[in-house]
Amino acid sequence: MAERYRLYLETSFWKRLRDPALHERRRDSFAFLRAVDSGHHLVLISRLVMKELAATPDWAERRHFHRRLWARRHRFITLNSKIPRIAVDLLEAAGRGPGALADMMHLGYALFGGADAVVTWDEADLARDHTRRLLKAYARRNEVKAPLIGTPKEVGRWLGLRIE
Amino acid sequence: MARTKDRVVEEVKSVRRRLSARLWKAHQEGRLYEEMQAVEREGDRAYRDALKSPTPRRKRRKI
Repeated sequence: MAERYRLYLETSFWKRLRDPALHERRRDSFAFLRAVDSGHHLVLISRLVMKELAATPDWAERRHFHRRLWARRHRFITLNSKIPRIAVDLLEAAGRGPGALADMMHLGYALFGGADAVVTWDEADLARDHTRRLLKAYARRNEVKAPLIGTPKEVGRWLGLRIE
Repeated sequence: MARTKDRVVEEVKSVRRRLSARLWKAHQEGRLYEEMQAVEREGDRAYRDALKSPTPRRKRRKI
């Protein structure tokens, strides 16, 4: 039986679904969602993503994101006292300023939720080698599984998802 | 070649910077977990509101 992955889809992934500017990336996002559906993979989500999506001014756009999420197999990662602790530890290890705390909180959710991958379009801060190394080192120290971090195309390639 | 500005990521980053500032302040005051609980409640409310219909359904007229 094919493996079923747990995928944490970060805010920029959902926002991309309504992006009129970068067609190729939007197409990749939809293709990724189709691959998630056809492989019966589990979408992990946090209420932090919901909070960030709520800042979208257009009501119809907001509704679109939520409907897209609702339409697939998904699970909310419930907040636990460990998540903020992981985020602060990662922030300290990264040597980054307070402005990156929410980024690290997403990684905390993914790590705590046992995600196989974090899917994001944020290549400047999250989907970069420095962050991947940091998360891997943290996971090794704490004897937990480190999720992969990448764009939909990268994650699709690493996990062998059929993205067309 | 100049990279196309990614509007989506810029928007997310701007929201996240504000959120980070709020969380950092709470962390310094030793109440990061409580603040995260508040953020979660707000996220949950937003999720429920977005799934609701914008206008309430019209009542079916009694025959």
